[in-house]
Amino acid sequence: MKLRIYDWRFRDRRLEALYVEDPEPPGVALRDDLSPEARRARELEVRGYYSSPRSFGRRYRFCYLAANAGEVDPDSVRSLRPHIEREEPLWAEAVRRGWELYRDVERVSLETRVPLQAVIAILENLRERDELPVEDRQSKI
Amino acid sequence: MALIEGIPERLQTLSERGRAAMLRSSKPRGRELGLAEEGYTYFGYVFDRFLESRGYNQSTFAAECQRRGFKVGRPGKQRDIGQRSVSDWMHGKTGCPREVPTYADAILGFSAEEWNEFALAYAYGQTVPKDAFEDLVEFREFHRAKLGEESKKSRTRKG
Repeated sequence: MKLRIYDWRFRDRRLEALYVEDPEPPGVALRDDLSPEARRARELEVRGYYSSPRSFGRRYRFCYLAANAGEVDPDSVRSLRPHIEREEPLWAEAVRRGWELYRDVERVSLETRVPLQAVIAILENLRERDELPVEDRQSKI
Repeated sequence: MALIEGIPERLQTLSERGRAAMLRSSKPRGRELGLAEEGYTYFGYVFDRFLESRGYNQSTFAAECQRRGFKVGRPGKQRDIGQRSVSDWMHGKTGCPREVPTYADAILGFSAEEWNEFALAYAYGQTVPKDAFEDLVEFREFHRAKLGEESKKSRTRKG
């Protein structure tokens, strides 16, 4: 069983990826004009779904572009967290440094080109391990 | 440490008091994130098209349900159907009760083909916007066909 990945042109302009578990083996349609970073983040996200079948209670999953931190799908973050730092160590380092400088998820994403959901996943992991830089500056996420 | 400035409370991902608080989404259960606040679901789109084709709208359909005594809800808690309810079903804000397809058929008089379309939209399209629903149907067909091709090729190779 192997996950099938296809390039796709969606009608819905905000869709970045569509993951289906039925028929099996699962398949994912990735928007054909995604940036390399957005594409990579979606690939990692759906690999997370693939390794935990039906973790989201349906046999399909829509992955929408998040224009700001408020629109990030919590399931995307959950799916990315276990693998993101191992798979993309350069992202993890860039996000850690970006957070030290900006303390703002959206700004970190903009400056590092790491997609928002991946920035949040990396920060959540850092926080869980108490490795998140903390100073008494105002911070925003 | 104050982590939030002008961002909704649910996003306090890294706040000291709300560990992973952003993982609590405020979206209505089951409603797709891509569904715009004022947009119809696929079900809403199909329902609206059938209403319009018979000269009805949300209000007149609700009024017709009331005139015929069509109610929704559990026995003992049955209620009339109002325009607001119809609107909420179409926008995916609340689930459409299971009696409604039968009421719609009685009032709108579906053909067999229309009934199938309405039933499909009712079953699968209540949380999804139209474009995304059509993307889902199309992609699943494509994926199924690809898997069929693969299995045919592998059978040919073995043979």
